[in-house]
Amino acid sequence: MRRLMQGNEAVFRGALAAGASYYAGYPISPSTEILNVASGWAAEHPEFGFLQAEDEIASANAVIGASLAGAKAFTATSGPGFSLMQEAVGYAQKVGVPSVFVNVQRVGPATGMPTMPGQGDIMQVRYGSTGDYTPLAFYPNSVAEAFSTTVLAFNAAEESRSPVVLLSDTFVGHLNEVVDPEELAAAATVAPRELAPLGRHEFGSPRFFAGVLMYEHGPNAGEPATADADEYLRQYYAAKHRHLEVANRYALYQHGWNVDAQTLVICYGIVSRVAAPLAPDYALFRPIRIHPMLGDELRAIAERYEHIVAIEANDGQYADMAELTLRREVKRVPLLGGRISMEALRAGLDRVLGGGPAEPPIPLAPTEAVERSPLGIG
Amino acid sequence: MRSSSDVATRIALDGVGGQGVRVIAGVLGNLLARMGKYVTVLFDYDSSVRGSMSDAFVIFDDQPIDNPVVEEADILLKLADKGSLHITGRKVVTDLGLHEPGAEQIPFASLGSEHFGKELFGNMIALGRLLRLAEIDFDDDSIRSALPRRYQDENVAAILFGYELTPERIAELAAAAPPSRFEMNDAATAPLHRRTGINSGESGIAASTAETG
Repeated sequence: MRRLMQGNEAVFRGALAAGASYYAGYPISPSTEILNVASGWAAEHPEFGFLQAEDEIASANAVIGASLAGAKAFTATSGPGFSLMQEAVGYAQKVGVPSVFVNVQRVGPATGMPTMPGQGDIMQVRYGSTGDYTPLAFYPNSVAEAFSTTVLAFNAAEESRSPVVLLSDTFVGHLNEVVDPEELAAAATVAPRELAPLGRHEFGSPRFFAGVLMYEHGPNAGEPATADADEYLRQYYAAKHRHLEVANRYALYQHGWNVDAQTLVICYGIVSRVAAPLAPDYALFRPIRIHPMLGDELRAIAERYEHIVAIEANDGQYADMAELTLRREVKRVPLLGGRISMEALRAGLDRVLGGGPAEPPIPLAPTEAVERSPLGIG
Repeated sequence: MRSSSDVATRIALDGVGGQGVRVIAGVLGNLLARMGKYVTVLFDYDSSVRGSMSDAFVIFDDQPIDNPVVEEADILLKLADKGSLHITGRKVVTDLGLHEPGAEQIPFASLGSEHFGKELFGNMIALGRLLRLAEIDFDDDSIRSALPRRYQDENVAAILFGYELTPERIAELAAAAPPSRFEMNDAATAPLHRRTGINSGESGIAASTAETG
């Protein structure tokens, strides 16, 4: 039945459709509704595992534990919580733990502007943990897509055996739109869990869970390989190639609006919705798979445009990736401080296409006190 | 070319936490969804639960909606002065006492208190006025199915009261009422010990049951 549904709830419903049976989390704006819905669901469905942990570190590790035990498991947080989860994310990368980490972004760093929409974690997803790894990340821009992309994230996690990140933002998470959840669930194709739970492998299983480099095969299987570069290379490239192969199955993007325009606008998440009034005069490239970068796809599209402008609620994080990929200038319109509006967007476009800087005019400091709630930050 | 009947209607609500902005938007969105419309409802708010900026954007149309953020509203309902400075409205309705040149002013809080026993019912009166201005036809069943279960009869009555207000009646009310702000503003921002007994617990129509997600 069609009904009004919030983006955060759609993530949870999508996870259920994908076969998720465990959620652990710690509340943080603007992701908390996912925890709330999971809690309510678990109360009515005892077979669904739920933990409100003491913090994000515990949440992430509980998710990893549940996945190793055989469950499709996920957590949801926002930027500061995702920072705390980074050690666990790296561990899950190393050990090969299928899992989904949802990051509903707000304005950072730190507590920053907790209820305001931001997109400042694009690079945290790519490089947030230690060492080299090849993360997969997706970013929907509507409630229906939040549902379907969550299903994809779970599938990609199973297929790549890695922690996959579902990015969102305050406005996508808190956006309510009319969807038919039954129809969305019926359309979902679900990748099964094929890995046996930890501890139930046949003898000689290559799954080790210490996070330390171990020999996986051969006469030394199960022994530390902590000084063997060859073993590192074998395992590192095996994981990288597996992740890239799975990523290729999900090369999701939108190329639209006025494709014959002179300027290609790159934007994603809620910014791509707010930018819709640009449709008559600009072409759109909206990456849905944020990581790995859609290099071939963007190169093929970008070559026909005179200008490329990345409009993001950060200071040019995707623009940096696009510029490296394309080896040409990508102009930047940063929408910072939670102000994701056509007014700011048009002003930025006019500025950079007129040869001006990416930085907006810096507002003067107020000369009078701004009225604030006596309750302070809640 | 789209006919006038299927052009999106963009509504912005501007208030502070505790006034029921989320409730009004949530009920409106649920009602429109049940009527088969495409709807977006988006909330934009500061981090204090009560007393700081709380805005909501409701858009409805007969076809999918692209941009869910409202910067130029067809109808702007303003219940406080702390909201976004970037929203303009072709038709502006404010609580009595807010300084908004050219706006239609309605003493929501005193009407809620006078006719329904609680100031907070003012937000349902405001919803009724919004439904009238947005030309949304509704029946008893559809509005009840969109409302929280608590205080449903009172809420429906308050909505109908707001829906049936005429411009002449609004002008009379504005002239007769004391020029005071929606009292919820003060109550919502007051320390907890002063707030209890005014608008706590039982009096809250929908503020506490209002989550739309």
